[in-house]
Amino acid sequence: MFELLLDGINSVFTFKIILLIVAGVFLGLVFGSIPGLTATMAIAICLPITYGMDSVAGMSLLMGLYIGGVSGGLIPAILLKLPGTPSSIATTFDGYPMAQKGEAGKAFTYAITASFFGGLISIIALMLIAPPLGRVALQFGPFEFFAIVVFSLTLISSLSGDSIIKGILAAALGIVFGMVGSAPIDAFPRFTFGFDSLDAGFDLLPVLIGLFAVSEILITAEQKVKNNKKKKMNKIQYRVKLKEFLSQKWNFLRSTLMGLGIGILPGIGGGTANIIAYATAKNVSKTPEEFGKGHPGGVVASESSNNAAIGGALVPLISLGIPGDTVTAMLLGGLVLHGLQPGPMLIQNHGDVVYGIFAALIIANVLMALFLFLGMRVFVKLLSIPQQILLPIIFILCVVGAFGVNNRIFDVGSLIFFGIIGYFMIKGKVPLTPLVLGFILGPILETNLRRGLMLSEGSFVPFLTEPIAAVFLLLTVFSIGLKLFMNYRKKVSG
Amino acid sequence: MKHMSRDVYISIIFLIISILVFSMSLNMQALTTSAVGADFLPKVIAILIFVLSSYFLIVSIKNPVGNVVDDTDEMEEINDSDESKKFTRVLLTGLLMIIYVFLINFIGFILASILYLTVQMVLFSSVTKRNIIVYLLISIVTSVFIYFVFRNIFYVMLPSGILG
Amino acid sequence: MKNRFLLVMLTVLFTVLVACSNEGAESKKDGDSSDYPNKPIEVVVPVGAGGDTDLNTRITAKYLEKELGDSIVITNIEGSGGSTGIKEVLSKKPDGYTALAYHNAMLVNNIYGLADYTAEDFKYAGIGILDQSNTFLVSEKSEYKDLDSLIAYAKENPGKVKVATEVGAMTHLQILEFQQKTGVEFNIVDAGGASEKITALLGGRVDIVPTSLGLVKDYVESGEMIPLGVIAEDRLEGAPDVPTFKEQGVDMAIDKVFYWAFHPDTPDDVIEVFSEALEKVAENEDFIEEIQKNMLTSQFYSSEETKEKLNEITEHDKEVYDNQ
Repeated sequence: MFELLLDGINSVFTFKIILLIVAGVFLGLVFGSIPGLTATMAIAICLPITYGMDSVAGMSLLMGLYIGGVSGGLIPAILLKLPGTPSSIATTFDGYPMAQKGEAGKAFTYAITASFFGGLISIIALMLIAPPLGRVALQFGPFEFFAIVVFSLTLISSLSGDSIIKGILAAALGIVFGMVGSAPIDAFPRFTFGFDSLDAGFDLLPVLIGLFAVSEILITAEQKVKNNKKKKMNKIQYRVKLKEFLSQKWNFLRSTLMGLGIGILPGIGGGTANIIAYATAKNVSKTPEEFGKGHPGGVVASESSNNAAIGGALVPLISLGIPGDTVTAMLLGGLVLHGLQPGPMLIQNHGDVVYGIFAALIIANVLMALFLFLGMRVFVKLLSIPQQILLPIIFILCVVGAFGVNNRIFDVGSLIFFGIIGYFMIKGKVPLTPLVLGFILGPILETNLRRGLMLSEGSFVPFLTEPIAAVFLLLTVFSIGLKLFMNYRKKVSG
Repeated sequence: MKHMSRDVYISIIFLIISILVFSMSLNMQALTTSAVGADFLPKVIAILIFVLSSYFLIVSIKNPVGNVVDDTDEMEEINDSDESKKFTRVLLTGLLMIIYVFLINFIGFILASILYLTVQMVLFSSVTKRNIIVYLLISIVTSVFIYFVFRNIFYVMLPSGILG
Repeated sequence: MKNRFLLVMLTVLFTVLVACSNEGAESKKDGDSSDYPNKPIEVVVPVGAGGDTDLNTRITAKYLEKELGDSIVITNIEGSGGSTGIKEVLSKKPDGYTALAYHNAMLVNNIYGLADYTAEDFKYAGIGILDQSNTFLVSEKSEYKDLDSLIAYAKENPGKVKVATEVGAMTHLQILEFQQKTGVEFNIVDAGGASEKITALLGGRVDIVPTSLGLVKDYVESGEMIPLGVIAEDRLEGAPDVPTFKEQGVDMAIDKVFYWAFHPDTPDDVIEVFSEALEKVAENEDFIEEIQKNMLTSQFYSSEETKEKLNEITEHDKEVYDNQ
């Protein structure tokens, strides 16, 4: 195994491939850092280029793009409160307040370190235990997915700000938006008001970027931009004491494992991993009230889980040939076009390529951290671009990104629609994150509920008796009970 | 006071949403035989929203002060007396965005973007610091640059409109 | 000072870009079909990247580019069983620079009443690839390893054998046809797309998965999955050990055809150019070898033959659907 890895590292240590990884990580970071452009898009664009390369070279480029694309999102999340990709939503919660406090440099250091080690651990897990992990993922059917989603939805309570009711209402609204378009399974068009364009429903990217980025631009539009010229940039502190780091070790480890686990489950993905890890970190923390006000733990939870989800998502792809999301579906396409059929035989038949991929991942991970550390002083300069120029350009890029999802103007329309909704929600102090969670998880919930009922011929019993499903539903009941109890105690004592 | 009316509005909006969702799901038929059809989840969610928002409505009417106490940025809003002026600016920006999207289809990405960028930058900046020529230049360069990079390098076929 | 420098830099950059764009613009003369193609052709794949439609289109496009002499840009427009992408093609200018690359599923949408277009609403450049490797898969632990024992088992246990499909997909019609021809009754369950169905079979949640043999050959090789037969006229060259359904007494044969279509108002001479290129690709030795790896057959159908073939498939599918 170790020898194989050395062979793999040897095979990617050619000038050409290293150059490809460098280019991939760099381009990925650029795509990740621009709101509206994502790793998915970067890979979609570069996929055709890889057809002309040999398989290790092609996959190395794609791995660089993947790691760069997921990591780049932390830059605008911390500096501008704009999540660069779905994977960095939760990074904005504490990263931006840290930057506001003048701790942008520290936030970067935390985020990059968490990204690096989170990614590394997940890559190691991928190398060592992909086949058994993949087999575990197979045990998750409709009943299990239904239970996990129900459990994840209870986390809304800790993402709701001051009012849990508003949080639940926002999540319900998210589920409603998620239902627009063809219903799962029978494709019955719902809430389309007769518009063909709505048949396919709303795409995640425009919804997300609209809610988080466009709404911010609208908020800024309230005031004429004051020129907040350089707030003494040179004073920024980048160094974080080792002790401060170590105080996050459990948080880091838990978030990494959660990211890995969520990544492995097909269909849920990095966009939710960071939110769920963040909510859990907040729940477990002794000082949950610090979260959202610039607590490094929030940044660590979000950034370690989203990078850990990369290795996780590759587990079912490499070990079973099963893609869990759009990115891995495209990677699958890339492999097949090179004559490699991902599946149980891939490691046996094409071990050289697989270990080449692992080596490329490790190198890309190192390069990602290196680029970000070298670049962070430059990123901070981004803030010195006058906002009245920066924001309109960011909006244009959001438009390009939304258009690029499906090459439809419709998606640009929904970008603005959700931007306006996001604006009014911020004004009404209705939290945005539960809406996103509802939007992502709602369709998964419904699909699996209905599939489960088809499997059980209409009986609800297996949802409660299948062991994994039962555990998650029990956890749900337990966590709601605990929350109610804590609230009750708070009321009695205070 | 403002706080109260806001939460009341929110709960009324959600009440309306729940009624809309429920009434629309009455017309849904399942195309396949399954224990629950396409109308099941919409109805459940509609009822959930209805119950919660009714409760929320009652609470926010009964308890108008709410949690104003820990609302720190509320102070800011009060200082900025000109609420309607603020809203006009947001409305203008929103309208500009919508017009921009329509224009992309007709006159193409480049021209629409140049127009949008320039007007938006002017809208954002204060009268004294405006420099329309610089804005226009930046707009032209960015729009053309983005268009060519995406269309020719990344093959994202941004609409070319009348220029194509 | 710094700002002025930036401005100068930007202006220089801008002039360079304009200069480049002029070069490109000169060769662009729209509306004239005699020199088709003179700019990149956008091909819409109405499903996501990475699936078999996407792959087959990309492989074919690679060879088509050489024949046509201009680049082909593939865009994936996903949603509602392909309808979103298909409607997008119909909404574009009929100048031959927007094509649709898809398969039988387009016809199924209409049969299920989910879309109003039919095979008649397009002009075709032709078919380049046939997938005749449609199969029913079972897991290695299955009690039946051929059709006879499956039918016997299913008759004893009506409604107990769980067959995975995506309601509204081609495989759903295959299952319906199988039920009609053999008189068995399955429990048809929705399990999602190709890879989700494989997950369901490996996880033991379903008993049979209808899919293309080319997509699962690794699992067949490892012995984890067993094909009950191919739904085709003849055995496959790539899998000579797998008997056909017909040999086992079930009279079914399904061709999944991957075609290239255009807006109905596209000029005929434009389509002819594309069609000729496609024919050359289908005869290209390298191309044939490349797709054979995925158990696909290369066979060219001309414009008229394609329409005929698609109408034939529609009629057959309709009959199956109406008989259920």
